[in-house]
Amino acid sequence: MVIAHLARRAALFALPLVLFLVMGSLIPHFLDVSNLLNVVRQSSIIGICAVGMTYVIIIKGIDLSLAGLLAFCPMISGMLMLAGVGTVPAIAAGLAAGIGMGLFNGLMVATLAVPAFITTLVVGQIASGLALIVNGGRSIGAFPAGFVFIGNGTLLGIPLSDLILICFLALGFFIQRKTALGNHINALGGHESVLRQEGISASRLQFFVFGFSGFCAAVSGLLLSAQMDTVHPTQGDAYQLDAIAACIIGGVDLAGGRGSIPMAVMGALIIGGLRNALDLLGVHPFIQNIFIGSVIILIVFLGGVVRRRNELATRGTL
Amino acid sequence: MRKLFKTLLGVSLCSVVAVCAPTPKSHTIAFSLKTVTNDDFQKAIATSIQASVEKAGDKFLLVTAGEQTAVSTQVNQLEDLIAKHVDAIILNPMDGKAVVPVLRKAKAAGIPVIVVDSSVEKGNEALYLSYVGTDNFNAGVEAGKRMVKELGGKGNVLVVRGANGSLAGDNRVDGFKKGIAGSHLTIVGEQPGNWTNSVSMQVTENMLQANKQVQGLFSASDVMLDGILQAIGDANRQGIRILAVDGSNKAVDLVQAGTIVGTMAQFPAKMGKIAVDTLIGVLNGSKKQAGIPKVIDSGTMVYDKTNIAEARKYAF
Repeated sequence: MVIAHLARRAALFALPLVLFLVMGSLIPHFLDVSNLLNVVRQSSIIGICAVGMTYVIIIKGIDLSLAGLLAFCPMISGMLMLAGVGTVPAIAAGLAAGIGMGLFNGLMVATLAVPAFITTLVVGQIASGLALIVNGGRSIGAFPAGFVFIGNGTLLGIPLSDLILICFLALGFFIQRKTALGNHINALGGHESVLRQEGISASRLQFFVFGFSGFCAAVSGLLLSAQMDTVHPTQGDAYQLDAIAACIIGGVDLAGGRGSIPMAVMGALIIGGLRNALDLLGVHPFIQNIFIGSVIILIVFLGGVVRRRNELATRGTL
Repeated sequence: MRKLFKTLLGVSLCSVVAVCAPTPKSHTIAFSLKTVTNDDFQKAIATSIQASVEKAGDKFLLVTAGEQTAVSTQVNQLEDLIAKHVDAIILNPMDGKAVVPVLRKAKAAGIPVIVVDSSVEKGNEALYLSYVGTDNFNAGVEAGKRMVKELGGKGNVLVVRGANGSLAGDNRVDGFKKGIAGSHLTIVGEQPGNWTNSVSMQVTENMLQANKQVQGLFSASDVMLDGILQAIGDANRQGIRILAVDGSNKAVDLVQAGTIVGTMAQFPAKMGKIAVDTLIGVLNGSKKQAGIPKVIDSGTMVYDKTNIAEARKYAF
């Protein structure tokens, strides 16, 4: 009985692993170390967004301001850097913008009970518009070498982007599993009554969750611009849905209350890995979208099937 | 259930690989661009490149980002092309700045690059062999001068730009502004049409709404004309003199019908052929890298009612 249960859980991990090995054996250069490090680097943008998004989904919200923040925050930092402001203060300004807009979302949700869908959508639109306005719709680039190094440099052979992703993964995991804050966030999504009993303010949690998501979006946007050495005013559009998809693939429950950050990052890596494999095969982006969409549905379906079986098995032993 | 899934996956992956398996011992030349969907001009370049590459016995890879504005997708695709170890890359960048870091990686990997149509940001000439394209700035200047002539030196003009970040589009508009400088023409509206009809229609509608007196309109490309003309028709405005850039068959039809004044021709087929010939020369050693000019002008001219026959010869 225990072995069957373990086998079921192993299957959830085995699936992506099998996918990975099949792709590796069929596609030349997929398993090159430089290519794999690149996959992580390309996925890091979605991955960092997914870390913040996981909490938002756990508390039964959604963050649709990602696209706007991914463009607006680096646009602020970029313009400051080009105006001669130092790299570190410029980055800090961009991060502050992201946190600020995230906190605004939290404010709307916590105090005015505006649905997260609406407030984040609106904030995202405003951010997108601002990103276009502040520089007349043009992209900016040619940033100081230090900034570009963050996106393209390596430490001991590993791209900095990968290391930053790992830091966020660790941070998210730590908060979720090892702190009271993490417990409370999970509770807010699943068992709000527990919070009320303990006298913990739901609003403060909402502030934190949305502010943190804004922070993650700002970091992702800055990282993307560091990688491209450019801030393009619409650069965030492609990533918003991918971040949500990454969370879903990672098993974050859209109904709230349940989700694991490492699994969401795994979801981001799966998406990045699939796109890379299909690029190496020369598949057209439109077909890539169909393929990735199908894989997402398949993984979610199988995840659901395994979960149902676990639930029924548990109930059966009562 | 799981076994079935694995089999299905294996079969589908195998069929995808079988379709795309490369032939050994010939060069693989990849063309990275935004899209060929709804874009006759890009399609013309791609067709010409494919023909020249295959004629030389090499393999052609078409890598489109799928949209007119998917900047980071193109960068990712270029990184993946480098991972794939292609022999050479022809690049039409959506954003002349965003591709600079990845071009550095291509150079480090020893992959020669030729840029076509839209240029890379100034100062990075060492990162590619050559830029083959229309002198977009000059095309804009000629269009501007022609607009001054059409409007008798004064009037209100609208400008529909290309997508943000596209140096080809920016250069054309900058040239246009230079061409009308010194006259009494005023640009009363300027918006990006993103190289698509849906966006160009929207921005033209808005600009017409905001400006009741408009005598001329400059579109950075023929591809946006359908949307622009639709907006003008919907707003019931007559007599707006329109100039565009590209020289496509669609535009020549419109010139013939008198709907637009003229279009600045580009020669995409020539662009593609020059790019491929240069690359193959470098790959098989017959051309010295040092001897290749940094900028190769593929030429431009005005197509208007007076030279339709000649236009038809080159229009795509």
